[in-house]
Amino acid sequence: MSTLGTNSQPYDAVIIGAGHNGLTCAAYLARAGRKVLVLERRPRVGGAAVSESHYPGFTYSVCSYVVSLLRPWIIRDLDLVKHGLQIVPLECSYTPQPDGPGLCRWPDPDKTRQEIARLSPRDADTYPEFGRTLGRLSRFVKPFIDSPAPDPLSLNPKELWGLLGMGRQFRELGDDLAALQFKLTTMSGVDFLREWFESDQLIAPMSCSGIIGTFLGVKSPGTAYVLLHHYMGEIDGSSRAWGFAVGGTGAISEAIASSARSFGAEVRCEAGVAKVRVAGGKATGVVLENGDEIAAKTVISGCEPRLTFDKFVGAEHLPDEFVTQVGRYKCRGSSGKVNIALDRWVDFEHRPGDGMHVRGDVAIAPSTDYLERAYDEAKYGDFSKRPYINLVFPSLLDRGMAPPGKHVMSCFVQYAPYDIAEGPENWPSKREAFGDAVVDTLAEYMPGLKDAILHRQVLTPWDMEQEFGLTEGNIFHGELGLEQLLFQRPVSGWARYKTPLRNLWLCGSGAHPGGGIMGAPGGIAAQQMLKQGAV
Amino acid sequence: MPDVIVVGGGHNGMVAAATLAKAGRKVALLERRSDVGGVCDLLMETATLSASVARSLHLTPPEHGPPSALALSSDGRRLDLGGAIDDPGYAGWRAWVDKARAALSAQLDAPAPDIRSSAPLWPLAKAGMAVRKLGRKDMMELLRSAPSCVDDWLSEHMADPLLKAALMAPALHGTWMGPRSPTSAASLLLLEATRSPVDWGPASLAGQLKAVCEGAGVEISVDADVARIRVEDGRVAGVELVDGTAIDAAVVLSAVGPRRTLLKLLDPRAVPGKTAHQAEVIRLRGTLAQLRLECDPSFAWPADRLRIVDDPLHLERAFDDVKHRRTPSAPPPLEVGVGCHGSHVSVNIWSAPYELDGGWTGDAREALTHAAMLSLEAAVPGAADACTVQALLTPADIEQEYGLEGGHPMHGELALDQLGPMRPSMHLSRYTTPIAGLFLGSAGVHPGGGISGRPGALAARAVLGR
Repeated sequence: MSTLGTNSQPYDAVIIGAGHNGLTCAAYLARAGRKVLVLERRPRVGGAAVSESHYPGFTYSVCSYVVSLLRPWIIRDLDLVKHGLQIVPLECSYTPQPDGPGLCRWPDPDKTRQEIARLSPRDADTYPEFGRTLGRLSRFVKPFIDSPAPDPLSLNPKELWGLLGMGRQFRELGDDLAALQFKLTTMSGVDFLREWFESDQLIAPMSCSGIIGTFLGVKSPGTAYVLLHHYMGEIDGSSRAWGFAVGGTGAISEAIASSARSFGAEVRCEAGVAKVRVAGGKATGVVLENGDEIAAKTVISGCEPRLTFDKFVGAEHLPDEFVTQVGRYKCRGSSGKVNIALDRWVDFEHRPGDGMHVRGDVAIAPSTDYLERAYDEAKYGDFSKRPYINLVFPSLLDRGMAPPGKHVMSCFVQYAPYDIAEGPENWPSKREAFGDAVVDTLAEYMPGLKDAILHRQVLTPWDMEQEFGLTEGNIFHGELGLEQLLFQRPVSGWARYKTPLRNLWLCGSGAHPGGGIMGAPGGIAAQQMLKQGAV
Repeated sequence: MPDVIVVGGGHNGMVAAATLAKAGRKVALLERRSDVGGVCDLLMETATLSASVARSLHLTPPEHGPPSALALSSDGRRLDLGGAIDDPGYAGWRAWVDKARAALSAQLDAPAPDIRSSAPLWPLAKAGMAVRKLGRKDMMELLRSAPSCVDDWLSEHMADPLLKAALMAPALHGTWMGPRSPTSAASLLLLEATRSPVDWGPASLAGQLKAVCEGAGVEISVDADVARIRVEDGRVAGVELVDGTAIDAAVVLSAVGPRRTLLKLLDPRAVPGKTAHQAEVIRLRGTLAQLRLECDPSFAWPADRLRIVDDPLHLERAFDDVKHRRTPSAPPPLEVGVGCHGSHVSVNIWSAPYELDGGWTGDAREALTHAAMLSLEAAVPGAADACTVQALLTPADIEQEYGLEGGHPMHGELALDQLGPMRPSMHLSRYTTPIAGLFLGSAGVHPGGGISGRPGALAARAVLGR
């Protein structure tokens, strides 16, 4: 049976997955007058950017919990503020220590300076300069996340011209910044920061940004680059790039969905796709899990590339070499998520109260050795007994997230490898032990924690794969390693959203510029398709 | 008065000195130790010497052919590294590497492309074009594989854990990485690009280079410890030895590592702040310790060179020890050389951290020796009984004895940000320094590496203005 669109016209595009990128892509296509259908397997839109209640009165941002680089042009084009988007900046960053006050980086540079000076006066002097320098570099990098990936090997004059322009901009950075950019792209976060700072208590939390969602340690080469993201669009030293969406991250997806619908896109939930329909070497639509077939001129997958090609398409419809390359695509899951409902506010032992210091993010990252030990355990197939945890208290930023006087605690936890020694399918039997390790770790900083817990939701990488279709539980649809970025994302030569199967396109985080709630892959993919007349 | 003083009689110092002398310069070579050769005492890989250096200095390849080499695991598996490797995936990998090698090795016998904003673009474009000759597909593969983890890269092609470990182990030497570190594949590519069919043997190579220097008229002084390089009016004026002797020269080529040269051998007032900072941030955390064993001559070693390692994980765990600044938590991987450094058997342990917590105390030395002997005995039964430990050089000892900062035999870790035009920094990668007449010619500058002679030769060319 084949169902056509409501007015019997086939869809111009059917999009697999109503994650934030799929929705963004849909909104752009619908805005350009295309007839678009978005299909979502789960009962609600959002994919991994979803808010749900698992305990009466409490709302969790189930997976993704902060928003980093949601592109301003998308917010503008899709009128997301009108559709309910409201983002509160996370301006404070607190790193407790088990036996001391730890370090708090405040929105006020002077206050931050005083804090850092307690650890190292020299570092306190360097910190603002570091922020300014990285801010300058981020201006060079920013255009890359707002446009299709450059192709350095093309002989097409237009491409070469673009490359030349990029080369010129690189040289215009001047030698010092250019050298720094080079270092930033290849060094480990810790090594890079050690060129600037001496205090391990400062370096540890700063280096963490480079490991989030990646199966690497803070001392692994290539982890310095993400530091830049913290300085995109900020003024001097405080990390303004992180924000919290009122209503949880699901509210972002809802806003994009609402915008897409307002442009005429159709979004259908509980409509899981089983297969991409292929005829005559072209994608012609999709087959749903319930057997329904939906015809479309173009099929666009917002899902992770391996899921898309291995499961939805199948190797038989793809060139062998492409299949090999997709097989090499790394999506090792490395993180878990624990959402906790609290009966009351729980103090950090050495900085009590629910003041400013806990209204940003709190990082359990007492030292670089601690972080590296956490990584080592995962490397050999176990979750970290003392993990890196990034905490946010959404209920302090949005009273609607929990009943009065009660709180929600969102814990991003690393490392939890997908490939545990027992095999990933045995994660369910380790799930609660993992949750316990997280709570035990936190209790070392928050002594009253255990008694205040009303409910906890533990998500392992296995759960993220099963529930959200994230292959191996990788939150970015594939590691953000150098070899899987830019013109190599997801695979060399196919970084422009197009795939070897005609009429099949990608628009998810597995495409350039990658993961995080940016919307950029979805937005740029749509622009490219429209520009090329593909839809 | 010499035209050029070469500081440091390691292989690069000798290559530089010989090259300059052959070009008609009067050269004085000063070596702090009582003999020249430097890290030729420590390293075992010599098939990395530049063929063009060997040619230009008329070195004679050894008559005996390459030494026999085996990979051995603690559970008794063996792999003949000199013979044909019978692995279905290996051949394909090797074929691709050989193709890439052709494009890469040409880059190693020339200065790195100048990426400074003041440099003309044309040579840069030319270098790019040369590598592009590989073709789009292979170029893509190069850009994909180089930044990846060497374990991932090799695992895409082959399954045998011993084979993979044996291939990757030497590529990790001089890095601060394990097989699971991104960009470690680039180190293997670099090593493969430097490989030549001739294995010179470290001791005999040092001897030959010394003879070439003497033949070319280089005046070699040993036990000549340079206290400082003298600078007058921003120009090199000569050197002063620890014993107070002053030697004048308008050009000094330092083959002792950029950091030592710029921070220890120069008056800090003579070094611009920016340059000093660039030298300070060079990463050179040594990981090499060497055990020297006196062995019963009747003991039959299975080969001249042994690579004792179980699998990539073994190397990763050994790197964990480095990372956590501790003595081996398990018997470590070893590199064994029988007769390559003279009469003793050398055992190189590439997982001994320079920055060991608590320092290299007697207990720490004992722990390292014990762990290494356990590895050796497991792979070569009977070896422990047949040998007695003559000496252990920890990274701290290597720093003291050989004058290597951080105990690092390559004067700077091999890492993408410290290679090519960034070795040791963007502004110091041209063999010249901000001090007129002072040149850098150690493995701390492009193309780095172990025993290659390239940096020495390229620095000499810079002195000659070629």
